[in-house]
Order: sequence, then C-alpha cells, then structure tokens
Amino acid sequence: MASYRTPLSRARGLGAAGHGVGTWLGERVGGIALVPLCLWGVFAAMRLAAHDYAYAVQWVAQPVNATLLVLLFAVSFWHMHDGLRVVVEDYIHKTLSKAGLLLLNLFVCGLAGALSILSILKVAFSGGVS
Amino acid sequence: MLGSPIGKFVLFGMTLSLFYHLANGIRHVVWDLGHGLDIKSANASAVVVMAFAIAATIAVWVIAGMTGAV
Amino acid sequence: MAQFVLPKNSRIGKGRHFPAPAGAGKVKTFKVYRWDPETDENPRWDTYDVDVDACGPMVLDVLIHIKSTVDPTLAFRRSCREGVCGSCAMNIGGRNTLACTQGWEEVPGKDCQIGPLPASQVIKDLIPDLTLFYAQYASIKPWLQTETPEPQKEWKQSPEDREKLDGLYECILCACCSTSCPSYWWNQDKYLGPAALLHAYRWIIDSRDEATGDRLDDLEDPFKLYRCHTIMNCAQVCPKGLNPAKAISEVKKMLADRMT
Repeated sequence: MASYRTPLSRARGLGAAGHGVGTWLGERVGGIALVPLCLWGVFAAMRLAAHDYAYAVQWVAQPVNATLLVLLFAVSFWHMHDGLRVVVEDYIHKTLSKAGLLLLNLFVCGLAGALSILSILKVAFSGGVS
Repeated sequence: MLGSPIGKFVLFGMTLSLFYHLANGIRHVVWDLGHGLDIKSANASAVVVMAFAIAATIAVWVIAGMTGAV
Repeated sequence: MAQFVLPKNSRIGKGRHFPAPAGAGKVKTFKVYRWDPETDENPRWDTYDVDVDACGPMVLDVLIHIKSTVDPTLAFRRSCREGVCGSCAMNIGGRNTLACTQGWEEVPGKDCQIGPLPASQVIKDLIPDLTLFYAQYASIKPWLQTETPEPQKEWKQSPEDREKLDGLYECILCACCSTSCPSYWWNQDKYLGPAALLHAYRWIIDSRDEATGDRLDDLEDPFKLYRCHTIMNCAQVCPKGLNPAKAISEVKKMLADRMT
C-alpha cells in the first residue's frame, strides 16, 4: 500500500515525548551506585565462600552487611530492569508484544528484587531459623 | 552445586562478565561526562576495559584460592 | 521484532563474473552488489576482475572504470570526486565511506566488496533511498531561528563562539554515520540518527540562535535522541573525521544540566 505521508511527516512522527532525561539520568545513577556495591559484593562473596553456613548467617545479621546486601540487590534489579527495558525498546516494535515484555520485565525484576530483599531481612532478623 | 567443576566454571564466567560490565559501565559514565569520545581514546579504553576484566577476575580467583574460598 | 535475517526476496545470490581483459596489468577483484528494480530477480554479487593499472587510486575510479569499459549497467551516485559532496557514500570492505576518498589499495582483504549503505532501501545497485535521512535533517530545523529584529549588517559572533561550530559545520550529510549505527538500523523510523543529531547540536550551540530551548525540547524523547547508546560507529566511519557521538553526548549533557 502506497503511503502519501510526506517524508518530513514521517521524520517528525508523533513528536518529542518531552521526557527521557530522567530515565537516562536514573540509569547512570543506578550504575554509579553499583560500582562500590559490586566491589563490596565480590569481596563479601569471597569471604562467605571461605566459611560455613553458620558464619554466613551471623555475617548477614550484622546491620552494615544486611544494609549493603539489601542495597546491592535492590539497585542490581533496578539496574537490570533499566537495561532490559532498553533492549526491549530497541528490538521489539509491535505495540502489544512490546507492552507485554516491558510489563514482564518490570514484574520479574520487581519480584526478584522484593524476594531477595525479604530473604536478606529474614536472615538478618531471625538469624537464619526457618 | 557451586563447588562442582561446572559451578566453578560458571562462577568464573560470572566474575569475568561482572568485571567487564563494571569497567565498561565506568567507561560509559566517563563518555557521558564528555570525556574520551575521540576515536583514539575510545579504542584504547576498549582494550583497557578488557584487560582490567581479565586481570581482576584472575586476581579474585587467586585470592579466593589462597583464602580457601574455592 | 527487529529482523535478523533478510527477507527471501532480498537474499543476495551469486552473480555474473567479468574476467580481466587480455593483456591486463595488475588485477584486483571487486565484488559489487547489484539489484535492478526492473526485474523480479534477487540482488546478486557481481565480480569484476579489474585491470587496476588502468584505474586511478580510489574506489570511485574503479567504479567509473567498470561502468565505462566493462559493464555500463552498474548504477551508483557520484559528483565531486573529492570528498565534498557526499554522493558516493557506500559500504566498502565492510565499512561505510566515500568511494572517492577511499583508496582501493587501503581496503583490507584480498577482494574488495562494495555494497550500498546498510539498512537502507535500495533504489538500484549502489544507490540507497535517503529520503527519510534528509527529512530527519529537515526536522531539526537546520537554520538560524531568531525573534530579535534582524541587525542592520549581520548577527555578530565572537571568534570563541564561532570556534564551537568547528567539527560540526563540515558535515556533508553523506549518511555514512547514520547507516553504520545499529540503533539507527533497528529504529530509523523513530531515532533521528547521528547525522541529524550532530546538526541539531550545531544549531543548539550557535551563539546567534534564539531557539535553543525549543531545539532541546524537540530532542527530548526516548527515541529521537536517547536511542544513541554511544556505540561509536558514527565517529569510526565519518569520512570527514567528525564525531557525531561527541555532539550527541553534549546534547545529553545540556538536557541533564537543564533539569538538575
């Protein structure tokens, strides 16, 4: 089907959404926060791997460790959401599949984040007794 | 599971990916601040990022081996 | 979903072979993309064994040689033959560049493969349809916008402010950058692409322009501007040595500055 839409009309499309800076800045903020958190996370993983389960439980129960762990997981899943969102927007163009995948991305990352935070808090508060 | 050879291989790969992602993320932040966008610097930082990822991964696994973590 | 495989009628088949003429000197093989809209045939790679001793040093010289002595059906754009007009932009040896400034001896590999600019509709052979590309340029309003009554003589600009346009005004709109950008490949209907954005920045930082804020408003969009993921292909291929990635980064910085 021939389209008689002019090239300029095609180039302008629906116009500028008037946002995007916030999302862009948010992506950078999450990423920058993850630099120290990830380095700490690697360090923590190495320490925990060298010890047993009981040590890990009392380690998580320490407020500083629990706080940093919660932040690490929360920001990681937020960052993961930001990244996957860009991938979906880049490659998926059909409105329905795009909306579906964006929702799925948000829900899965939200669920994983909430679950990990709650698990950390549970160990921190109860000392690992299930 | 994580202690098995396959588990260790996957963990090693994840360490490498994490450090690569981390270093490249910093590279992108520097770009976003407006620095290092000329081709020469950009090509050089690409090499630096890969070298850092490999070096940091090896360092972490050597230290983990010495402290009895693996 | 983005297409990762060419549709059936776009797959490139093996084409004809044109051997070097008898008594040729040094011979180099050029593999050239061919597609004729008049036929129903798929595109094909024609190979030309060219007597390069009879040609000038540039890829455009070879193409002109092929067209005038071997195969007059070959279609390509060219005009200035010295890197000023941007007409002969094409993909040479896997890299977008101008055929007129690319020496065939400098193309890596044994054979030299020449195709049209990637991810663009082909009109014929090496000629891409750049209608949307030009419209995207027009959409950023590439002219001085002012409300203050025109001065008697001219809009003044300090040498320092004039210097800010260096590295931007030289763009010849050859489309090498935009068509080398993966983000543009997938989203050219919504992403303006490096060339249009470089020009947008050229007007945004022009000290004489009075529509800076409106220009930034027109760019603040998740797709028009923010599909740039700093992939850097634009700067790598620009035959004029410009850096669209840097210009886009400056626009993003200005938008962030405006907000925070």
